[in-house]
Amino acid sequence: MKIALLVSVGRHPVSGAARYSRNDAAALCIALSLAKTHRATLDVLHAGDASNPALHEYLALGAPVVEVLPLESACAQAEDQAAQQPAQQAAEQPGPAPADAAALLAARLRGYDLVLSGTRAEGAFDSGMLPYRVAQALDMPLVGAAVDLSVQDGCAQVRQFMPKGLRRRVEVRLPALIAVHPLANATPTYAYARMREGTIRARDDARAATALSSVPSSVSASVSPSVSPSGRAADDLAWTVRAGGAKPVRLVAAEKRSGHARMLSATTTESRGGSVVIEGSSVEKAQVILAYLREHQLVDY
Amino acid sequence: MNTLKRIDPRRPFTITAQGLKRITLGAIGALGGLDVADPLAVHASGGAHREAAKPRRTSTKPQRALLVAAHADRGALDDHARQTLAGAALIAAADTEVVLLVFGEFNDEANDNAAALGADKLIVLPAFESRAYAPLDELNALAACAAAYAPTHILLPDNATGDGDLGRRYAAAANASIATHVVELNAAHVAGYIRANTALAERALPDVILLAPNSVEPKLPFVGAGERVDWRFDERQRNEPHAIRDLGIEEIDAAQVALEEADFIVSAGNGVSDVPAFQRLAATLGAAIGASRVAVDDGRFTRDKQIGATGKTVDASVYIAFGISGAVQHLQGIKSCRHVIAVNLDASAPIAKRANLTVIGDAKEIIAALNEAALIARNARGTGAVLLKSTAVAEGALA
Repeated sequence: MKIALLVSVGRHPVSGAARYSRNDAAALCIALSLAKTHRATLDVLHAGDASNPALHEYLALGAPVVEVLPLESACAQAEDQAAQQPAQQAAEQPGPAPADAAALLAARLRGYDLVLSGTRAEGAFDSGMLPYRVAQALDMPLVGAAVDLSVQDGCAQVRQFMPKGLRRRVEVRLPALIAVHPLANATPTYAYARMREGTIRARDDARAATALSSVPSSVSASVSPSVSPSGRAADDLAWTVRAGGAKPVRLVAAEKRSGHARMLSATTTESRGGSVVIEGSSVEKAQVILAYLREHQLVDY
Repeated sequence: MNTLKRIDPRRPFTITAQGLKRITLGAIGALGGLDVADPLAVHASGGAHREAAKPRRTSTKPQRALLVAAHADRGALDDHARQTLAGAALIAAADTEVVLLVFGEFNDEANDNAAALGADKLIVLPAFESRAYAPLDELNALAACAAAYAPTHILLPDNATGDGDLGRRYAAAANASIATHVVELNAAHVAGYIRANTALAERALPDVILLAPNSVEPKLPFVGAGERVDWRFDERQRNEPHAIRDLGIEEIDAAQVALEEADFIVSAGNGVSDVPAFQRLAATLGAAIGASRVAVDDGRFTRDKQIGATGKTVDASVYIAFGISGAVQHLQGIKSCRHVIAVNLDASAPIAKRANLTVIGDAKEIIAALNEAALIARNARGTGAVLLKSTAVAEGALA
């Protein structure tokens, strides 16, 4: 079995320093344990800049080798066109992938049984689109928000995170792409010795370029093939960064009422209160509460 | 000489639905024919001092469409989905209609129906149960709907219960431009945080917009047309075996879930003296336990159970308050709860204004009765007779 893990470089929210993404670290833990139990090969991939010091932290977290697919041409293009957008963050994986990181990765990821990634990057556009774009390009099923993962005879059992204390179990046939949730059940361990031992290997440009040229055939299988990969790169450049400290403005309907109506709504309290039950024994009142819960499908008995 | 135009404050007026309206001399078209013809009739109908019905957003023939898709939660849209729908209605031009696509059962007869929330067309797909996992079928349905209406933009709430996933899947499949976690929306642009929430970036409206919560005020001064469209989603595709199989939902024991994350909370205040009985009820209902400040200060509950300004803020679907009068600080903590049920001896307590259902009575007796009723109902689950009988009793008591 071949497992691939996509890792990204995060960004410290306060200092802005490059660091490993904790979500991807959890995915790395899961991938390592899977590779161990199934004697699978694990390839850790990153699309971006091989000289980024944060990549060494993945070595410390247990990855023996991190393979880097360079995105230089895309970076240069990005910086030309959007000078006001410093640090295009080409290194990010599960971001909205500047240029065509998704296509680049998809070309590299052919033939893997299981591809793991984080849900969302912590430092670029953080749209969480990369797993979706890669899965689409590879025509693989995608399961997101995995907190637990096990593989059994050609199928992966995933436990998905849902809010309000719920978890859902899903089975997916391999090959598949699974995005790991930040709250995954994994405890990454950091070892300096492993960091010294591991290697960062940059893939040579020529091979990456040829691999890339073979991609559009699969990408064009999507619903509307009007936007080419380079078109999507231009799409990311549609973003402009605002001046620091700008606060988002909430969209509120324009007030068109007369002064009289506004005075009324300010002086009279809005009676929101629902129904009131005063009469009856306590047993009947309990039944009223139960009936209310049933009416709104809040209990299933 | 002073050239300022002077306006007589006691100039003539008419009474309209909007209230007292002064006639400004020289103004054109301010007077409707009806007002002048018979001002008494307007007055008699009580239009003067009553909140007028909201007008329709637009009456022009729709040329374009905005599509809003959301999963219904227990037959209704949650706050986040409502905000998304309101956002679409607010950015829609006069010749644009807002199409709402709801996955799952949707109860349109409720007080706040699709029209009041701003939708012009409503498509309900009740075949998609909210708890089932069928991302590919949902994607097909959304793509079919998008193909039928050719919307300029598709808006979804960016949540973890399926909508965010669906929007991203659609954007990837259609190779569409997308903006996620959008915190600012208007007719010209969207904006969202980038680089780990340190900078704000904006762009022109993309094809797919995933809205973050609370980026739109859901209150609208108008209503939509709310026209229901029957949509037959092709069932044949749904029966195809998919690579993804749903194995069902696991629920974590309510007592283990953090109070902020809990969906069902029973809460005790000063009126609850029998704590063990209250805890038994919580176990029966499968609810998390909360408490008001007084109950916590008295030492009946631990500090981490306190709900309110100095305690925790909860956003449960159901919140049952026993013996809580509802101080402002407490109501602040339960602001985002969807259904609030209050059991209290005092009918004029402030919580009665907040609660959707207020039961006046002794908390101790009602806790015991509710515990018993819930136990019986739980044990008799599946026999429809119990359900029918209890509803009849409830209706009688309400009347």
